[in-house]
Amino acid sequence: MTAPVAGDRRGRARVVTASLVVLLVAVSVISLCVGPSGMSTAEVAGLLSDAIAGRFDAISTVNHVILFDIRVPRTLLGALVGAALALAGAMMQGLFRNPLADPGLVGVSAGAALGAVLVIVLGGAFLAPVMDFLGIGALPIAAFFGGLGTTLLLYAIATRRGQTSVGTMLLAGIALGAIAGAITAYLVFRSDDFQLRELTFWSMGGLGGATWHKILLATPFIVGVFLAMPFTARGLDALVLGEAEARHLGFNTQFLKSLIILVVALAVGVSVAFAGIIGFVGIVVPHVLRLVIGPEHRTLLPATALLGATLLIVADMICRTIVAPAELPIGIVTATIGAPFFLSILLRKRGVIDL
Amino acid sequence: MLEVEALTVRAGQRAILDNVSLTVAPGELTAVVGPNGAGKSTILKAVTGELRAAQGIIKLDGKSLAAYRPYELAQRRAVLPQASSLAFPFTVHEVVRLGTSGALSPADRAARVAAALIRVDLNGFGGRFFQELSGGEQQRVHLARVLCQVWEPIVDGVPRYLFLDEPTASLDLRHQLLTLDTARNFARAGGGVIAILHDLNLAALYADKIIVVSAGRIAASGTPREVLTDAMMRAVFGVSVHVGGVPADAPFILPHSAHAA
Repeated sequence: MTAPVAGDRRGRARVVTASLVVLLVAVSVISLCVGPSGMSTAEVAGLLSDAIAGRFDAISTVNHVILFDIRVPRTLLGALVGAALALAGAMMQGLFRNPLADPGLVGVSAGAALGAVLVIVLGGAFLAPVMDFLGIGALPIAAFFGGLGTTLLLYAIATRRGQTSVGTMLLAGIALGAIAGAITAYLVFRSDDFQLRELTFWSMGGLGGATWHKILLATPFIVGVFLAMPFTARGLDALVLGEAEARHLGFNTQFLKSLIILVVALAVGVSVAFAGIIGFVGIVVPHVLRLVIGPEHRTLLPATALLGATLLIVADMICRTIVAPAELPIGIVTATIGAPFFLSILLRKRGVIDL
Repeated sequence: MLEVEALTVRAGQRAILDNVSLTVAPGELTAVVGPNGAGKSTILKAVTGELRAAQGIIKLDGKSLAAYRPYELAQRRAVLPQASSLAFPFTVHEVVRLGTSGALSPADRAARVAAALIRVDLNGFGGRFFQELSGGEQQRVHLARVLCQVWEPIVDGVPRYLFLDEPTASLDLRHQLLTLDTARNFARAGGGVIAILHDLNLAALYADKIIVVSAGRIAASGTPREVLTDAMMRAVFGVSVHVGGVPADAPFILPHSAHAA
């Protein structure tokens, strides 16, 4: 082990990342043990060891349903969505060179939601042939294109000659979010009873509707997001210096930007399709980690994914225990944690941001 | 050799650069001087490949600039920007490391970063936060990063280039001299340097060749002694001044004796 170099935080990042892995595993196990059914930790441990040993006959149907059809998929979906949202936030902040960019704040989530609502409301009508073709994947795909369209528009509006204006980005994000919201509201207004029920179910968001089916659908998309990390990390670092500087350092910035926008849209689209709009994860997690391990994306991105997964699992546990047997919408918890954070960043940056 | 032939850049109807031709030879420090808005930065943007809309021919070592891939260009030349702020809390070490090649081992990269920081007189600054440094110090951090990118002035007989946009702008006198010493040493070792400079005394002191840009054209080009004349100062900079020749080798300009013409 060589002595640490001043200003090189990679050693610390390794320690923090390892701790985050342990934390994620611990939180996941706790999440499996928490729920309104009152199943004890010892019981859960017994069931898990039965399952690992392949003794499925020994597990009662009730226990099987509670643990393997409800809690495990729910925890997994929480981890996937949390990691995706946090990563989307970190990448978007890198792209816009601004710690305030968050898919939820700048309208990307609203765009993705519009895509999802379009499928639900018009899926039976003139979108029917498309729906038949895409089948169950239609919802995430539509959400992806909704998010992609918004991100592209936002980037086009906020960036001139390689310079991204923060004020323009935030204001344009508000406007785009409002437009998407208005169209969404109109679609909800003109939907029938059946669609309304489906919409309500979907728009409550949260991880309550987690099923193995959704996990299987979401996993390939989110794995794609993870796979983009090593290809974007060094480029994101260079982009922080500015677009021209990144090019001078040898990066194909056009390709890099397109890849990042695609990945952000993918992450947000899948998250919104399966868990609704969950705000602030993308802003809190990268921000905290930048303070601890520094902003280098090679270490920041994996740590962000881990902490995002952990945070969402914890938030979900709070949701389903605090008012049990009812459930709090998860957005309330993430906003309660996240909004003060956002304000604190704003306060510190007040001098820097001019609209 | 960097060759620019008949470069024309337009913004709308107006020509920012009009039929500009110049060469930057390896082994030399070429200074570009000229009044505000003359087109100095535009020349630099064109030769770094940042500006695509240019007409004319730009060749780096015999090959058209457009034919290089971004990473190939990055191996041959490094560009020092005027000023750039960072949105995130990078340490000085992390910023400078951005200039080092990923092909080096982590230990070699760290050593290269440390050596570059010594060269810009920022020894021991690796752990400091970039955002907390003064403007001049930030400028030198970027110089260290740029030096890391083209550490050896010649690789396998192929020269590398430093493009410096006002490298001395926010520096104190000592660091102005240190910075230009570094640039000149790079040229002496076989690399090519093109630097936009405002201070004509520094240009006279350090440049092997001075290119004077005025209103989008090359007004004069040659050694400092050839270029820095009373007539040029009046025609290009609009000041009536007597260019002295007292120092042994370089002409000098005393603003004290100048007045607007």
